[in-house]
This record gives sequence, structure tokens and C-alpha cells, in this order.
Amino acid sequence: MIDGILQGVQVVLDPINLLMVFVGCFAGTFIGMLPGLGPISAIALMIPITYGFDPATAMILMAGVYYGAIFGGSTSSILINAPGVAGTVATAFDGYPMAKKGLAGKALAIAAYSSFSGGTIAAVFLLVAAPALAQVALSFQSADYFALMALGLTAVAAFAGHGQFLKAVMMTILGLMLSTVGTDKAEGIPRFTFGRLDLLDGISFLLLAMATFALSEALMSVLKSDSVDEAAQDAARGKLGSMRVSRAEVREMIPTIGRSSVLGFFTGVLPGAGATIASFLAYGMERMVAPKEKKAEFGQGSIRGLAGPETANNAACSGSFVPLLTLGIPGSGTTAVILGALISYGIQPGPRLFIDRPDVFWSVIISMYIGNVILLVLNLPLIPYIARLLAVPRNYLVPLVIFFSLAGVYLVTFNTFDIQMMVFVSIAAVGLRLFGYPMAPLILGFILGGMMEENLRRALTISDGSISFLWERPITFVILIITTLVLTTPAISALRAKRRTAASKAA
Amino acid sequence: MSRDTVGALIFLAFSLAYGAATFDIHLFPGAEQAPFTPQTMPIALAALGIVVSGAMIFQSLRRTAARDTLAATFGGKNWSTVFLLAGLMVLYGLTIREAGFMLSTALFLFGGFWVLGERRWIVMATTAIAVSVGFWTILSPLLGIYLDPGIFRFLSEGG
Repeated sequence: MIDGILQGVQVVLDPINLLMVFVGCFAGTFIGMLPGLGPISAIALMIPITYGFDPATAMILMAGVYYGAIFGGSTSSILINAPGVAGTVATAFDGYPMAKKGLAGKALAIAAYSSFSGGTIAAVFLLVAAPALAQVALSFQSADYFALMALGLTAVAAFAGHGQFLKAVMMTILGLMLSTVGTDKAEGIPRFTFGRLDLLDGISFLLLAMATFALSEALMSVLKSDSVDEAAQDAARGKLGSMRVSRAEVREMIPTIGRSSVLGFFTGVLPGAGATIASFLAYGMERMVAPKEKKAEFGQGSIRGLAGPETANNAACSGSFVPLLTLGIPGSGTTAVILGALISYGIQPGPRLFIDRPDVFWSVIISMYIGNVILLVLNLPLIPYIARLLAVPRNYLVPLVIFFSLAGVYLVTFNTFDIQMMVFVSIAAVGLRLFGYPMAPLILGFILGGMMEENLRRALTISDGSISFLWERPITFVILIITTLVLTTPAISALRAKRRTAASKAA
Repeated sequence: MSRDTVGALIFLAFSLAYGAATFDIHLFPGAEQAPFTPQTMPIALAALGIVVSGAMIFQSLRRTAARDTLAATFGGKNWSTVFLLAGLMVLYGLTIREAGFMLSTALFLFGGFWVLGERRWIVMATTAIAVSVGFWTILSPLLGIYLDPGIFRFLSEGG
């Protein structure tokens, strides 16, 4: 292993490869900031450029673009509440409120430090445990994935403010319902398409995320533009604020980063799970373990609420390389594109990759360390300039955000029906927000719905229609126990607190 | 009726409609015996939706604390501006192919600035044109993404 690491270092420190890390991170960050051009598109755009390169060089470039794009997606999540990448949706929950309070610089800095930490820690895990982890990933079956998705849905409890739990659950159900629109994957039967060809592919994630976050936020700001609160927010919005993170804030972030790196990496290792579910799980976990006074800050600009998902999504990116490099199984859509690129270079990823092509294997892992450093060094000085975006007057900022969102979705499918759909969804989202329903559980339900149904169908088919798979498989059973505990613990704690209050009053 | 009760009633109606629509999902012959069909998840979700919205109605009717009314929630807001912006978005969707990306984007942005109260025509026009040309330049020549030329296609064909 030491020989491999040294070989990887030697490859990466080649001037051309160092340049590729730099170019990849820069291009990835820029492209990731544009909704509709996430890491998959960014990497796909790079592939023709890499045909003339050495495979190790090409992989280094694509890896840099991948986590650069994740970081870029976080930037638009924080500044304009427009998460262009599924893995950065959870970043907006506390990143955007922080920016609205005039702390955009600090929010971006926290995102940068958290991304760096998550990516670096995960790269260490990757270095040490890649082959062993690959075997663990293989042992996960459909029943286990279903249980994991159910655990992911419990993060809905994190979005429920006082007395809002039922509303969060209802929005999750609505998200699950929206995920059933389109063609049933197993049998090819159209569901809820009402005869429209445009709905055969279902509703795209990007459309829903842009409409419910960016567009509805822009329309809400117009709706309430005469209110005193909005005027105060406008005044605060343009302020960058200090980028300095105080010692107390760093001390608060450290345990969050530690927990979220581990969670993110191991979730990313599972094929199909990825950065999205990792970031939601991290958000839910942080809210659950936070002390009472810190819990109230979630959704209002909490440092833990921002650092957790940011760390987890970058750690998951590194984790998703484990099945790719060790088994030749892509762990996410992005690594599927990378797999296609590797095959086109004449390299077969799989168990023999680190024997036959150790230069490719180790250089990708080592490049992650260097890439994370470059991302931090590159982006921190740019933060004051990027954050200036918020200082644009509302009369100009709102139409620009709307254009950004509409164009971003249009560029994916070039279908004008999607634009009309976005208008409808955004008006509905405004109505739902006025009724007091949170949007985050909707996205969570939507993302997990398709995967849950697929895995549940497979698990039931394997067990011949019996639900005994829920307790027969140890991994499934343990995850479901954790899910039950996560769901019931807040209610039990609230009940015990009520009884204690009643008892002390009686005394 | 309070805001929360009306919201819950809307969800109840939606869940019932969703449940009714599940029976339009065709199944292949013999699929009725399968443990999991394309109808299974939608039926379960419809049932869950009805139960949860019922619980929300019950909770909102039991609440004795001061409740938001519909008038307070929806009144006194800039609905006309919002609907004008929504109309502009619909128009953008209808013209992006025919008029082309650059022209429709510039017109949308110009219209959006005007709707929100901006009246400095030169600044509005300059910003709208700069953003649309800038985005076209990044997306088309630089990244190689095809964008509809719209009316500029006819101009170049006629020339």
C-alpha cells in the first residue's frame, strides 16, 4: 500500500496533473454554480477534452470537476436558495437563512471549510479501507436499501418545528406521490400522466427543486415586499459580513464535521445512495443530537445545520469512488459517467484495477487530497466577490434568479412544457408556504420515493410477497430499529418533559 | 375556518383525487396476484394522505390558541405583481423557441425589471441584453450547448 501511495503522489505531483487538478476544481466550481449543469454534465463536457490525455491525468481532471461541482452547487444554494445539485439541497436549509441575515461570507466560508474537511477525511478512509468497504457495499440488498431510505425519511422530523410534525409528514407524502408520476420502471406502465407525453419521464428533480426553492423564494419576496421584515432583510442581504469563523464556532463545528464525514463516506459507498441521502441524513442527525438551545437554530442559520450536510455531501463523493474503483460498479450517476470514460480509455475498472493500473487507482485517491486543498485555496479569496451577488437590488435580482432557474431546467430537456410546469409548481409552492407547509420534506420524499418503491418491490419479489424480510435480515432489522428510535425519541422525550412539568406543578 | 383547517381540507381533497386516479393505472393481465404492482405504492400513499390530512383537520379544530385566518394569510400582499411575473414566465416558455434564446431572455428580463418597478430604461435594456448575450456566449460557443436561434435563424437563412 505504501508503494501505491508513493506512486500516486509521484503521478499527481507531475506539473501537468497538478494543472489538471487546478483546472478541474475551477471548472467544476463554475459549472456547478449554474443550475442544470451539475457534476454529471460538467464531467460529460470534459470527456471529449480528455481523449488525448493519459488515463490517470483524465481521471484526475474528472475527479476535480466532480467535487468542484458539488462545492459550486453549494454556492448557489447558499446565496440564492437555488440548489442545482440534489446533494446541495440540504445546504440551503441553513445556508440561505444565514446569507439573508447578512452573513453570506461566513456561510460560504463554513461551507468551504466543511467541504474541505469532509473530502479530506473521506479520502483518508478511501486510502485505508477501499477494498474492504467494497465487500460491505456488495452485501447490501434491496431490503437493506429500503430500510435505509426509510431511515432517510425520518430526517423529516428535523424539518418539523413545534407543532408542525404532521405538516412535514404530509409534505413528505406529497413528495412521494409526485415521485410516482411517470412510467413505472418495472412494468413500463404510465402513471398519472393524463395522456401527456411530456410526463412519461416523470417530473425532474431539478424542476421541482428550482420551483419549490429558488422560484417560490423569489415570488415570496415579491409578495411580501412591502413588509418591514422584507425591508430589513434587504438591508442585511447585501452585507457580506466577516468571513472569520470564531474559535467557539470552530469548536461547535468540529464534532459535526467528524460525525458527518463518517456518515457521508459510508453512505456514499453504497451504490445508489450517494451525496443526496448522505446530506439529508447528516442534517437530521445533527438536529437530533444538538442540545435544546441549538435545535431551535436549525432552519434559521444554524452552523451545525450548514456544516453537517456540506461535510457529508463531499465525503459521499469520495465514498462513491469506492465501488467504482474496486468493483467497477458506479455508485452514482456521476461515477457512471466516469465509468464510461474509463472504459473508453481502455481501462476496465474492477477488482484488478489496483493491480493492473495502480497509477490510475492511487493517483485518483491522492488527487482528492490535493483537490480539496486547491478548492479551499481557490474559493476562499473568491467568496467576497461571489457574495456580492446578493448586493444586487431586488428589482434586478429577482428576475435574474427566475431566469437562472427557468433556463437551468430548460437546458436539461429543451422542453418548453417544463417551463410551464415550473410556473405552476412555484405558484403552488407559494400557496403551500403561506399555509405554513415546509418545502424540504417534499424534496426529501420526492428524491427517496422512486428508490424506495424500486427496492421495496424487489424485496417483496425476492421474499415471495412476505414482509418477513423486514426482520429476517440483520442489517434491515437494525436500520429499522434505528428508524423507529429516531421517530419515537422526540415524542417520548416531550411526553416525559410534560409529565415532569405536571409533577413539579403538583408538588 | 382557520388557515390550518383549510390547508388540511385541500390535502384531503388532493389525496382522495390521487387515490381515485390510481384506478386508472392499467395492470397487465394476472398482475392482480402479484405482491407488488404499479398500483401498490400509489394506493398506500393515498391512504396515508387521507389519514394524515384527517389527523391535521382534527388537530386544527382542537387547537384553542389564536389561529391564522385565511384573510390574514392571503390578504395585503402583492398578488398582482406575482401574477404578472408568472405571466411573463409563461410567455418566456412560449417564445424561447420561436423568438430564440437571446431575444426571449432579453425581453423576459426587461419585462421583469419593469414589473418590479424599475424605470431606468437604459440600465434595464443594457442589463437585459448583457445577461442574455453573456449566457448565450458561455453556453453556446464555449460549452457547445445548442440554443435556439429563433428569429436570427431566419435572418441568417435569408441573407
